[in-house]
Amino acid sequence: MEENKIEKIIELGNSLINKIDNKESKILFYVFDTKNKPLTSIKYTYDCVKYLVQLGYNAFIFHEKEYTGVKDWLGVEYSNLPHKTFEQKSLKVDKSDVIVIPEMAAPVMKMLGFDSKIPCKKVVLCQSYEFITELLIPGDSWVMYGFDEVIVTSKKLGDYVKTLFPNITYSIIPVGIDNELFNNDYVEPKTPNIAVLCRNVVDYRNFTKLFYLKQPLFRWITFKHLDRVKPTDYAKIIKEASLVVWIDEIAGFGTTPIEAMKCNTKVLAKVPNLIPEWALDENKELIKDVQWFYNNLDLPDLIGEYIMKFTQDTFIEDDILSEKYKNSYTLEAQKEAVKNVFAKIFSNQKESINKDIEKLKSKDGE
Amino acid sequence: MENNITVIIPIHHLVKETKLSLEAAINSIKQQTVVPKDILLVVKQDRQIEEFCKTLVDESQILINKTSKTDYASQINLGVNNIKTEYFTVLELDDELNKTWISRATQYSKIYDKKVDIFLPIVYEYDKGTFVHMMNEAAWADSFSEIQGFYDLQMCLEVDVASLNGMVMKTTKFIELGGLKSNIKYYTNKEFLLRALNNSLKVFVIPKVGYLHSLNRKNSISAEMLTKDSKELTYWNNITKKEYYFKNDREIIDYNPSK
Repeated sequence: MEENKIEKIIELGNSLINKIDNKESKILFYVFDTKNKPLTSIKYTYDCVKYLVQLGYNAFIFHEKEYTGVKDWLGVEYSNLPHKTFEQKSLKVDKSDVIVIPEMAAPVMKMLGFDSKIPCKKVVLCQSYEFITELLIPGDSWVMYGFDEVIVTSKKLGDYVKTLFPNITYSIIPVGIDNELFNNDYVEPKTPNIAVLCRNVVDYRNFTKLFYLKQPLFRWITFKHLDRVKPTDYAKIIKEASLVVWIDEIAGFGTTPIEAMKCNTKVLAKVPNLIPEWALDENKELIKDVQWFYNNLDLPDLIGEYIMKFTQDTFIEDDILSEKYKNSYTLEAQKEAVKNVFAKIFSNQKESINKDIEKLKSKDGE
Repeated sequence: MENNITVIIPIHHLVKETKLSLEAAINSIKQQTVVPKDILLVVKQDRQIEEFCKTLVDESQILINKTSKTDYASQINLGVNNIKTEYFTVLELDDELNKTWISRATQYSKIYDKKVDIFLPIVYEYDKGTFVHMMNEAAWADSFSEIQGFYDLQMCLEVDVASLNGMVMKTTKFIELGGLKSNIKYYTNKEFLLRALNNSLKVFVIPKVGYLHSLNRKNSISAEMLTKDSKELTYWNNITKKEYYFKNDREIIDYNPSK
């Protein structure tokens, strides 16, 4: 290689390291357009970008040209975060930059993976194991597309991802829960309403109908579905409810039960296929603060028993779950994890660039 | 938890069975997780009844009704006018309070002090010891009334789901509203509820079972109603819908089947 060319490349490498050190490297978090429908997974992505911006990084929400945004359900604090679109001609990335793509966007990963003009670090963001294979072409893998690192929301999910892609490394950014929204300051007593988070709306419809058929004494009970509800309304429903029913077998983390316990609302939860860390005690058994079930058909009786106890006042409902979970999965912890994960990603990037420089230097010396 | 509630028990007559019931009723007050500030037995002037009541409560907790009006409404009105607490509730002699009712009523009255005038419990109704159905729970059904948990006038005019049993109300509000009307032979409580709602009082159902109501006891109003033909009951039901506009207990012409 010509001396000048090597020098230029070394110079470029050093400028990349400077970019990383000055936090000028771009971090692009790809999001889908939810068309104004609130989605926890999108809020999580926005939170990551929000923290990175607060930490001084050059982070962006990255989306297609047609994008509705989140102003209507997350407000200006989130909609004002820096955004970039795919189609922006001025958008260029180099080796110091990072692109983060959600697990369900396998076609986007493929497109980026086979485009040699995109030499940046490619990271998968995986929040649910179910969506890993949703759009992945049979026989393909993330690693094949150049994605050799994944951010997950729980260790359980990370371990599972490793069984599918053994060469991938994972880091954990747990979901942060806003203690201002989910606190015990709510002075009004619990209503008999039941808040439900069902991944599958058909499941929700079926079990509520089944409940009214099997428990005619409690036909007056009101169920409130938490799916696609604005964060403030979502928190209000959980605080007012006397019981939260959580059915999300494919969750990678599952914040709803913790959010409920933070504001002293009882939880009836279906055991998820991948049991996250928070759901297990020190003996690796399911925690007792939540009442667990395995079969949706058992739900009408379980809810009936609960309502009977609630209305007859035959159990102590005012025990202090909130105190126990007050410090669990806070926004501060999430922010700290974001900071550590990206510090590590950039440190590895620097190491990789340095290695390349060293190689070139040694060649130059020869 | 401090409370400011008196439980009023109107007593018109006592036979062997009702003596046992009255003992159970008073025990249900004494066994409350939060004992009410006071109990007041409003008793018809009758030596036997008075003597029996003295075996159950302190003499100062017995009020003798020396007037000739000893019906359910008059007994309660007299009782309310003679208590010193901010709130009161009424317990019929053959019914019982759920053991947490006073505690719940106290808790809710502190939280909803300015927002609610009448607190109602979910009522369990029994017939000869067998559970029949609930009352008041419908206030919590989705879209039943304008605000979940509260009764509104329109709904109470359309559907008979409300029960005033176990009602906890501010003493002064009850007196201001004119009390219960003894001229309304049946559905006395219903007329009172309609009147309260018509006067913009806020009626809220605490979503807890507070009152265990025994239906159709011998000599009770509900047992008497079972003997009446439906036209007479409809007549009295319609009377409530005409009378709730008025504070005064106006004279009412008794039902006449020939008219």
